[in-house]
Amino acid sequence: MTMAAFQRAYADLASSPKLCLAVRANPGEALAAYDLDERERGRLARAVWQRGMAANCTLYRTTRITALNSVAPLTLGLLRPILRDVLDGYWEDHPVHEVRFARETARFIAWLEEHPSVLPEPADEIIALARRELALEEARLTAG
Amino acid sequence: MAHADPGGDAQRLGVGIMANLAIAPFIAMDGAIDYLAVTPDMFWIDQGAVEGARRFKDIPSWVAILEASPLPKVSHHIGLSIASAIPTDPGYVAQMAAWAARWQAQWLSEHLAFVSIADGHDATAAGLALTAPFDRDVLDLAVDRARYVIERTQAPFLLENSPYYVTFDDSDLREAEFLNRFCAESGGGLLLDLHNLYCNVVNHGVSGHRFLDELDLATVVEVHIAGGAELGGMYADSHSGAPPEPVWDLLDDLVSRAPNLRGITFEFHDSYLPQLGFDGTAEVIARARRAWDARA
Repeated sequence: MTMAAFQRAYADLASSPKLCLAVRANPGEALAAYDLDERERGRLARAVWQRGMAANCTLYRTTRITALNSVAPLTLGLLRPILRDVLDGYWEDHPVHEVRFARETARFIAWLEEHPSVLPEPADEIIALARRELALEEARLTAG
Repeated sequence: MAHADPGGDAQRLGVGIMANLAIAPFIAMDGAIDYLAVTPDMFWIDQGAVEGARRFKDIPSWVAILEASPLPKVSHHIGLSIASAIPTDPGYVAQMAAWAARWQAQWLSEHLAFVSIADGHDATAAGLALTAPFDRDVLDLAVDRARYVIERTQAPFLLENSPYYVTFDDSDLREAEFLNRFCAESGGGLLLDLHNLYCNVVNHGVSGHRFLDELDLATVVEVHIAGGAELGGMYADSHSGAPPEPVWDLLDDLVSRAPNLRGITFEFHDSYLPQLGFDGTAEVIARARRAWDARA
Protein backbone atom coordinates (compact mmCIF):
# COMPACT_ATOMS: atom_id res chain seq x y z
CA MET A 1 0.00 0.00 0.00
CA THR A 2 2.94 2.39 0.01
CA MET A 3 2.24 3.74 -3.50
CA ALA A 4 -1.25 4.73 -2.37
CA ALA A 5 0.21 6.33 0.75
CA PHE A 6 2.80 8.17 -1.34
CA GLN A 7 0.14 9.56 -3.67
CA ARG A 8 -2.01 10.57 -0.70
CA ALA A 9 0.92 12.35 0.95
CA TYR A 10 1.93 14.06 -2.31
CA ALA A 11 -1.64 15.30 -2.85
CA ASP A 12 -1.87 16.47 0.76
CA LEU A 13 1.34 18.46 0.28
CA ALA A 14 0.02 20.01 -2.93
CA SER A 15 -3.06 21.17 -1.05
CA SER A 16 -1.31 22.44 2.07
CA PRO A 17 1.55 24.96 2.21
CA LYS A 18 1.43 24.44 5.98
CA LEU A 19 2.23 20.73 5.60
CA CYS A 20 5.01 21.58 3.12
CA LEU A 21 6.62 23.85 5.71
CA ALA A 22 6.24 21.18 8.38
CA VAL A 23 8.01 18.64 6.12
CA ARG A 24 10.78 21.14 5.47
CA ALA A 25 11.24 21.61 9.21
CA ASN A 26 11.02 17.96 10.23
CA PRO A 27 10.27 15.46 7.46
CA GLY A 28 10.31 12.41 9.70
CA GLU A 29 7.72 13.81 12.05
CA ALA A 30 5.52 15.52 9.43
CA LEU A 31 5.32 12.40 7.24
CA ALA A 32 5.05 9.90 10.10
CA ALA A 33 1.31 9.42 9.56
CA TYR A 34 1.88 8.03 6.05
CA ASP A 35 2.93 4.43 5.37
CA LEU A 36 5.96 5.36 3.22
CA ASP A 37 9.15 3.50 2.46
CA GLU A 38 12.51 5.23 2.67
CA ARG A 39 12.65 6.12 -1.03
CA GLU A 40 9.17 7.67 -0.98
CA ARG A 41 9.87 9.62 2.20
CA GLY A 42 13.10 10.95 0.69
CA ARG A 43 11.34 11.97 -2.53
CA LEU A 44 8.73 14.00 -0.68
CA ALA A 45 11.28 15.52 1.70
CA ARG A 46 13.19 16.81 -1.35
CA ALA A 47 10.07 17.78 -3.31
CA VAL A 48 8.92 20.35 -0.74
CA TRP A 49 12.04 22.41 -1.53
CA GLN A 50 11.22 22.59 -5.24
CA ARG A 51 9.46 25.67 -6.59
CA GLY A 52 7.22 23.20 -8.42
CA MET A 53 5.63 22.24 -5.12
CA ALA A 54 4.75 25.90 -4.53
CA ALA A 55 3.27 25.95 -8.05
CA ASN A 56 1.21 22.86 -7.19
CA CYS A 57 -0.10 24.60 -4.06
CA THR A 58 -1.05 27.64 -6.15
CA LEU A 59 -2.73 25.46 -8.76
CA TYR A 60 -4.67 23.63 -6.09
CA ARG A 61 -5.94 26.87 -4.57
CA THR A 62 -6.73 28.28 -8.01
CA THR A 63 -8.80 25.19 -8.77
CA ARG A 64 -10.76 25.50 -5.56
CA ILE A 65 -11.38 29.22 -6.02
CA THR A 66 -12.41 28.61 -9.64
CA ALA A 67 -15.09 26.19 -8.47
CA LEU A 68 -16.63 28.78 -6.15
CA ASN A 69 -16.14 31.69 -8.52
CA SER A 70 -17.80 29.83 -11.39
CA VAL A 71 -20.97 29.34 -9.39
CA ALA A 72 -21.05 32.38 -7.08
CA PRO A 73 -18.98 35.17 -8.70
CA LEU A 74 -21.04 37.99 -7.19
CA THR A 75 -20.67 36.61 -3.67
CA LEU A 76 -16.92 36.13 -4.06
CA GLY A 77 -16.66 39.65 -5.49
CA LEU A 78 -18.36 41.04 -2.39
CA LEU A 79 -16.00 39.09 -0.14
CA ARG A 80 -12.85 40.08 -2.04
CA PRO A 81 -11.33 42.25 0.76
CA ILE A 82 -11.57 39.36 3.25
CA LEU A 83 -11.60 36.42 0.85
CA ARG A 84 -8.19 35.04 1.78
CA ASP A 85 -9.06 34.75 5.48
CA VAL A 86 -12.51 33.34 4.72
CA LEU A 87 -11.13 30.68 2.39
CA ASP A 88 -8.28 29.78 4.73
CA GLY A 89 -10.90 29.09 7.40
CA TYR A 90 -13.11 27.12 5.03
CA TRP A 91 -10.24 25.05 3.66
CA GLU A 92 -8.98 24.33 7.17
CA ASP A 93 -12.33 22.70 7.94
CA HIS A 94 -12.75 21.12 4.48
CA PRO A 95 -9.26 20.28 3.19
CA VAL A 96 -10.51 17.94 0.46
CA HIS A 97 -11.77 19.53 -2.75
CA GLU A 98 -15.24 18.56 -3.97
CA VAL A 99 -14.83 18.37 -7.74
CA ARG A 100 -18.53 19.00 -8.44
CA PHE A 101 -18.67 22.79 -8.44
CA ALA A 102 -22.29 23.07 -7.30
CA ARG A 103 -21.68 20.71 -4.38
CA GLU A 104 -18.50 22.54 -3.42
CA THR A 105 -20.45 25.82 -3.40
CA ALA A 106 -23.31 24.32 -1.40
CA ARG A 107 -20.78 23.12 1.18
CA PHE A 108 -19.15 26.56 1.26
CA ILE A 109 -22.52 28.25 1.85
CA ALA A 110 -23.33 25.79 4.64
CA TRP A 111 -19.95 26.63 6.19
CA LEU A 112 -20.69 30.36 5.97
CA GLU A 113 -24.00 29.74 7.73
CA GLU A 114 -22.12 28.00 10.53
CA HIS A 115 -19.55 30.83 10.71
CA PRO A 116 -21.48 34.06 10.09
CA SER A 117 -18.96 36.02 12.16
CA VAL A 118 -16.40 35.78 9.30
CA LEU A 119 -18.72 37.85 7.11
CA PRO A 120 -19.30 41.60 7.08
CA GLU A 121 -22.84 42.86 7.63
CA PRO A 122 -25.41 42.19 6.38
CA ALA A 123 -24.18 38.59 6.66
CA ASP A 124 -27.63 37.06 6.17
CA GLU A 125 -28.08 38.92 2.89
CA ILE A 126 -24.65 37.86 1.61
CA ILE A 127 -25.53 34.22 2.32
CA ALA A 128 -28.89 34.74 0.59
CA LEU A 129 -27.07 36.09 -2.48
CA ALA A 130 -24.84 33.02 -2.53
CA ARG A 131 -27.91 30.78 -2.31
CA ARG A 132 -29.52 32.59 -5.25
CA GLU A 133 -26.36 32.16 -7.33
CA LEU A 134 -26.29 28.45 -6.48
CA ALA A 135 -29.95 28.13 -7.49
CA LEU A 136 -29.11 29.72 -10.85
CA GLU A 137 -26.29 27.22 -11.38
CA GLU A 138 -28.57 24.30 -10.53
CA ALA A 139 -31.13 25.61 -13.01
CA ARG A 140 -28.41 25.95 -15.67
CA LEU A 141 -27.33 22.36 -15.18
CA THR A 142 -30.82 21.04 -15.81
CA ALA A 143 -31.99 23.50 -18.49
CA GLY A 144 -32.35 22.25 -22.05
CA MET B 1 11.43 1.09 -33.59
CA ALA B 2 8.66 -0.72 -35.45
CA HIS B 3 5.24 -0.41 -33.87
CA ALA B 4 1.73 -1.40 -34.90
CA ASP B 5 -0.54 1.54 -35.63
CA PRO B 6 -2.37 2.18 -32.32
CA GLY B 7 -4.97 4.29 -34.14
CA GLY B 8 -6.53 1.15 -35.64
CA ASP B 9 -9.37 1.97 -38.02
CA ALA B 10 -9.77 5.56 -36.84
CA GLN B 11 -10.05 8.17 -39.60
CA ARG B 12 -7.38 10.76 -40.35
CA LEU B 13 -9.37 13.78 -39.21
CA GLY B 14 -7.24 16.90 -39.71
CA VAL B 15 -7.43 19.86 -37.31
CA GLY B 16 -9.94 20.05 -34.47
CA ILE B 17 -10.74 22.06 -31.39
CA MET B 18 -11.62 21.27 -27.79
CA ALA B 19 -15.37 21.81 -27.46
CA ASN B 20 -16.76 24.29 -24.97
CA LEU B 21 -19.83 26.53 -24.71
CA ALA B 22 -18.05 29.70 -25.84
CA ILE B 23 -16.69 28.16 -29.01
CA ALA B 24 -20.05 26.73 -30.16
CA PRO B 25 -20.77 29.55 -32.68
CA PHE B 26 -17.30 29.08 -34.20
CA ILE B 27 -17.57 25.34 -34.67
CA ALA B 28 -20.99 25.77 -36.26
CA MET B 29 -19.38 27.64 -39.20
CA ASP B 30 -19.00 25.45 -42.25
CA GLY B 31 -15.43 24.19 -42.64
CA ALA B 32 -14.13 25.98 -39.54
CA ILE B 33 -12.67 22.76 -38.14
CA ASP B 34 -12.51 19.09 -39.06
CA TYR B 35 -13.48 17.45 -35.76
CA LEU B 36 -14.47 18.07 -32.16
CA ALA B 37 -12.42 16.93 -29.21
CA VAL B 38 -14.77 16.49 -26.28
CA THR B 39 -14.00 16.26 -22.58
CA PRO B 40 -17.04 14.14 -21.69
CA ASP B 41 -16.66 14.88 -17.97
CA MET B 42 -17.67 18.48 -18.75
CA PHE B 43 -20.88 17.30 -20.43
CA TRP B 44 -22.25 15.19 -17.59
CA ILE B 45 -22.76 15.32 -13.85
CA ASP B 46 -21.33 12.38 -11.95
CA GLN B 47 -23.81 12.02 -9.11
CA GLY B 48 -21.83 9.24 -7.47
CA ALA B 49 -23.31 5.93 -6.49
CA VAL B 50 -26.93 6.59 -5.55
CA GLU B 51 -29.10 3.54 -5.14
CA GLY B 52 -31.83 3.37 -7.75
CA ALA B 53 -30.59 6.44 -9.62
CA ARG B 54 -28.52 6.91 -12.74
CA ARG B 55 -24.99 7.88 -11.78
CA PHE B 56 -24.15 9.98 -14.86
CA LYS B 57 -26.58 12.64 -15.98
CA ASP B 58 -26.28 14.78 -19.13
CA ILE B 59 -25.96 18.56 -18.87
CA PRO B 60 -28.51 19.35 -21.60
CA SER B 61 -27.14 22.76 -22.64
CA TRP B 62 -23.68 21.26 -23.23
CA VAL B 63 -24.87 18.07 -24.90
CA ALA B 64 -26.89 20.24 -27.31
CA ILE B 65 -23.57 21.41 -28.84
CA LEU B 66 -22.72 17.85 -29.79
CA GLU B 67 -26.22 17.07 -31.04
CA ALA B 68 -26.03 20.11 -33.32
CA SER B 69 -22.65 19.21 -34.81
CA PRO B 70 -22.21 16.58 -37.54
CA LEU B 71 -18.41 16.66 -37.09
CA PRO B 72 -16.48 13.54 -36.05
CA LYS B 73 -15.72 13.41 -32.34
CA VAL B 74 -12.96 12.13 -30.08
CA SER B 75 -13.22 11.63 -26.30
CA HIS B 76 -10.66 13.27 -24.03
CA HIS B 77 -11.20 12.19 -20.42
CA ILE B 78 -10.05 13.70 -17.14
CA GLY B 79 -11.52 11.27 -14.61
CA LEU B 80 -9.99 7.84 -15.23
CA SER B 81 -6.99 8.64 -13.03
CA ILE B 82 -4.85 6.13 -14.88
CA ALA B 83 -1.87 6.40 -12.51
CA SER B 84 -3.84 6.12 -9.26
CA ALA B 85 -2.83 3.44 -6.79
CA ILE B 86 -6.46 2.71 -6.02
CA PRO B 87 -8.82 0.25 -7.70
CA THR B 88 -10.17 1.17 -11.14
CA ASP B 89 -13.68 2.63 -11.06
CA PRO B 90 -15.63 0.19 -13.30
CA GLY B 91 -18.66 2.50 -13.40
CA TYR B 92 -16.53 5.28 -14.84
CA VAL B 93 -15.04 3.00 -17.49
CA ALA B 94 -18.53 1.76 -18.41
CA GLN B 95 -19.55 5.38 -18.88
CA MET B 96 -16.47 5.99 -21.07
CA ALA B 97 -17.59 3.10 -23.26
CA ALA B 98 -21.23 4.23 -23.38
CA TRP B 99 -20.23 7.79 -24.27
CA ALA B 100 -17.81 6.65 -27.00
CA ALA B 101 -20.49 4.43 -28.53
CA ARG B 102 -23.13 7.16 -28.34
CA TRP B 103 -20.99 9.73 -30.19
CA GLN B 104 -19.02 7.23 -32.27
CA ALA B 105 -15.80 8.59 -30.84
CA GLN B 106 -12.85 7.79 -33.11
CA TRP B 107 -10.65 7.24 -30.07
CA LEU B 108 -10.45 7.92 -26.33
CA SER B 109 -7.65 9.51 -24.35
CA GLU B 110 -6.59 10.29 -20.79
CA HIS B 111 -3.72 12.09 -19.06
CA LEU B 112 -0.73 10.40 -17.46
CA ALA B 113 -1.61 11.55 -13.95
CA PHE B 114 -3.57 10.70 -10.85
CA VAL B 115 -6.57 12.75 -9.74
CA SER B 116 -8.03 10.24 -7.27
CA ILE B 117 -6.33 9.24 -4.03
CA ALA B 118 -6.99 6.82 -1.20
CA ASP B 119 -9.16 8.00 1.67
CA GLY B 120 -9.24 5.11 4.11
CA HIS B 121 -10.89 2.30 2.13
CA ASP B 122 -12.57 4.79 -0.21
CA ALA B 123 -11.32 7.20 -2.87
CA THR B 124 -11.40 10.96 -2.92
CA ALA B 125 -10.32 13.72 -5.30
CA ALA B 126 -6.75 15.01 -5.12
CA GLY B 127 -8.02 18.42 -6.26
CA LEU B 128 -5.54 18.64 -9.14
CA ALA B 129 -3.83 16.33 -11.59
CA LEU B 130 -0.45 15.17 -10.27
CA THR B 131 2.20 13.30 -12.22
CA ALA B 132 3.58 10.22 -10.49
CA PRO B 133 7.27 9.26 -10.74
CA PHE B 134 8.12 7.40 -13.96
CA ASP B 135 8.53 4.13 -12.09
CA ARG B 136 8.02 0.57 -13.28
CA ASP B 137 5.21 -0.10 -10.81
CA VAL B 138 3.35 3.00 -12.03
CA LEU B 139 3.86 1.80 -15.61
CA ASP B 140 2.42 -1.62 -14.77
CA LEU B 141 -0.60 -0.01 -13.18
CA ALA B 142 -1.23 2.31 -16.16
CA VAL B 143 -0.78 -0.54 -18.65
CA ASP B 144 -3.29 -2.75 -16.81
CA ARG B 145 -5.81 0.05 -16.64
CA ALA B 146 -5.38 0.93 -20.33
CA ARG B 147 -5.85 -2.70 -21.36
CA TYR B 148 -9.08 -2.80 -19.35
CA VAL B 149 -10.33 0.39 -21.04
CA ILE B 150 -9.45 -0.93 -24.50
CA GLU B 151 -11.23 -4.20 -23.75
CA ARG B 152 -14.36 -2.44 -22.47
CA THR B 153 -14.56 0.29 -25.12
CA GLN B 154 -13.23 -1.62 -28.14
CA ALA B 155 -11.75 1.67 -29.33
CA PRO B 156 -8.21 3.06 -29.64
CA PHE B 157 -6.92 4.47 -26.37
CA LEU B 158 -4.27 7.21 -26.09
CA LEU B 159 -2.21 8.39 -23.13
CA GLU B 160 -1.35 12.09 -22.92
CA ASN B 161 2.01 13.26 -21.59
CA SER B 162 1.51 15.70 -18.72
CA PRO B 163 3.18 18.91 -17.61
CA TYR B 164 4.83 18.39 -14.23
CA TYR B 165 5.95 21.02 -11.79
CA VAL B 166 7.70 18.73 -9.29
CA THR B 167 10.34 16.34 -10.62
CA PHE B 168 11.46 12.99 -9.22
CA ASP B 169 14.99 12.66 -10.54
CA ASP B 170 15.43 9.12 -9.23
CA SER B 171 12.55 7.69 -11.30
CA ASP B 172 13.18 4.21 -12.69
CA LEU B 173 12.63 5.37 -16.28
CA ARG B 174 13.01 8.49 -18.35
CA GLU B 175 9.68 10.00 -19.43
CA ALA B 176 10.06 9.06 -23.12
CA GLU B 177 11.04 5.50 -22.19
CA PHE B 178 8.00 5.29 -19.92
CA LEU B 179 5.67 6.40 -22.73
CA ASN B 180 7.27 4.06 -25.28
CA ARG B 181 6.91 1.10 -22.95
CA PHE B 182 3.33 2.06 -22.13
CA CYS B 183 2.41 1.90 -25.81
CA ALA B 184 4.33 -1.31 -26.48
CA GLU B 185 2.83 -3.13 -23.49
CA SER B 186 -0.75 -1.82 -23.51
CA GLY B 187 -1.54 -1.60 -27.22
CA GLY B 188 -2.47 2.04 -26.68
CA GLY B 189 -1.03 5.08 -28.40
CA LEU B 190 0.07 8.59 -27.53
CA LEU B 191 -1.72 11.87 -27.43
CA LEU B 192 1.36 14.05 -27.59
CA ASP B 193 0.61 17.41 -26.00
CA LEU B 194 3.28 19.70 -27.39
CA HIS B 195 2.39 22.52 -25.03
CA ASN B 196 2.75 20.21 -22.03
CA LEU B 197 6.14 19.25 -23.43
CA TYR B 198 6.96 22.95 -23.83
CA CYS B 199 6.03 23.57 -20.17
CA ASN B 200 8.58 20.93 -19.19
CA VAL B 201 11.11 22.55 -21.52
CA VAL B 202 10.65 25.94 -19.85
CA ASN B 203 10.40 24.68 -16.28
CA HIS B 204 12.96 21.90 -16.26
CA GLY B 205 15.31 22.53 -19.17
CA VAL B 206 14.17 19.46 -21.11
CA SER B 207 15.10 19.55 -24.82
CA GLY B 208 11.81 19.33 -26.72
CA HIS B 209 13.29 18.14 -30.01
CA ARG B 210 15.50 15.58 -28.26
CA PHE B 211 12.41 14.32 -26.45
CA LEU B 212 10.76 13.77 -29.84
CA ASP B 213 13.88 11.88 -30.96
CA GLU B 214 13.56 9.54 -27.96
CA LEU B 215 9.86 8.84 -28.54
CA ASP B 216 8.56 6.12 -30.84
CA LEU B 217 6.67 8.61 -33.02
CA ALA B 218 4.71 5.82 -34.74
CA THR B 219 2.67 5.69 -31.54
CA VAL B 220 1.46 9.31 -31.86
CA VAL B 221 -2.17 9.42 -32.97
CA GLU B 222 -3.21 12.88 -31.80
CA VAL B 223 -1.38 16.11 -30.98
CA HIS B 224 -2.51 18.92 -28.68
CA ILE B 225 -1.39 22.53 -29.12
CA ALA B 226 -2.19 25.33 -26.67
CA GLY B 227 -0.91 28.47 -24.98
CA GLY B 228 0.10 29.06 -21.37
CA ALA B 229 1.10 31.65 -18.80
CA GLU B 230 3.42 32.26 -15.87
CA LEU B 231 2.18 30.96 -12.53
CA GLY B 232 4.13 31.37 -9.32
CA GLY B 233 7.49 31.48 -11.07
CA MET B 234 6.74 28.57 -13.38
CA TYR B 235 5.18 28.30 -16.82
CA ALA B 236 1.75 26.69 -16.62
CA ASP B 237 -0.46 24.87 -19.12
CA SER B 238 -3.32 27.34 -18.70
CA HIS B 239 -4.81 27.06 -22.23
CA SER B 240 -4.89 30.84 -22.28
CA GLY B 241 -4.45 31.62 -25.96
CA ALA B 242 -2.55 30.88 -29.16
CA PRO B 243 0.43 28.50 -28.98
CA PRO B 244 3.85 30.17 -28.56
CA GLU B 245 6.39 29.87 -31.41
CA PRO B 246 8.39 26.99 -29.87
CA VAL B 247 5.22 24.86 -29.87
CA TRP B 248 4.76 25.53 -33.59
CA ASP B 249 8.42 24.55 -34.13
CA LEU B 250 7.82 21.26 -32.32
CA LEU B 251 4.67 20.66 -34.39
CA ASP B 252 6.53 21.27 -37.66
CA ASP B 253 9.26 18.89 -36.50
CA LEU B 254 6.76 16.22 -35.49
CA VAL B 255 4.21 16.00 -38.30
CA SER B 256 6.51 14.59 -40.96
CA ARG B 257 7.86 11.99 -38.52
CA ALA B 258 4.58 10.72 -37.07
CA PRO B 259 3.15 8.35 -39.70
CA ASN B 260 0.02 7.43 -37.75
CA LEU B 261 -1.03 10.95 -36.79
CA ARG B 262 -4.82 11.36 -37.09
CA GLY B 263 -5.46 14.84 -35.73
CA ILE B 264 -4.15 18.11 -34.30
CA THR B 265 -6.33 19.61 -31.57
CA PHE B 266 -6.24 23.22 -30.40
CA GLU B 267 -7.12 23.54 -26.71
CA PHE B 268 -8.05 26.75 -25.00
CA HIS B 269 -10.15 27.67 -22.00
CA ASP B 270 -13.44 29.37 -22.82
CA SER B 271 -12.77 32.25 -20.40
CA TYR B 272 -9.95 33.42 -22.71
CA LEU B 273 -12.14 33.68 -25.82
CA PRO B 274 -12.61 37.48 -25.40
CA GLN B 275 -8.83 37.94 -25.75
CA LEU B 276 -8.37 35.45 -28.59
CA GLY B 277 -11.62 36.05 -30.47
CA PHE B 278 -12.96 33.95 -33.33
CA ASP B 279 -10.47 35.60 -35.72
CA GLY B 280 -7.56 34.60 -33.49
CA THR B 281 -8.98 31.10 -33.21
CA ALA B 282 -9.29 30.87 -37.00
CA GLU B 283 -5.63 31.94 -37.38
CA VAL B 284 -4.50 29.14 -35.06
CA ILE B 285 -6.58 26.60 -36.98
CA ALA B 286 -5.23 27.86 -40.33
CA ARG B 287 -1.62 27.57 -39.16
CA ALA B 288 -2.25 24.09 -37.76
CA ARG B 289 -3.77 23.09 -41.12
CA ARG B 290 -0.62 24.23 -42.89
CA ALA B 291 1.37 21.97 -40.59
CA TRP B 292 -1.10 19.12 -41.19
CA ASP B 293 -0.84 19.56 -44.96
CA ALA B 294 2.97 19.38 -44.75
CA ARG B 295 2.84 15.74 -43.61
CA ALA B 296 5.02 13.46 -45.67
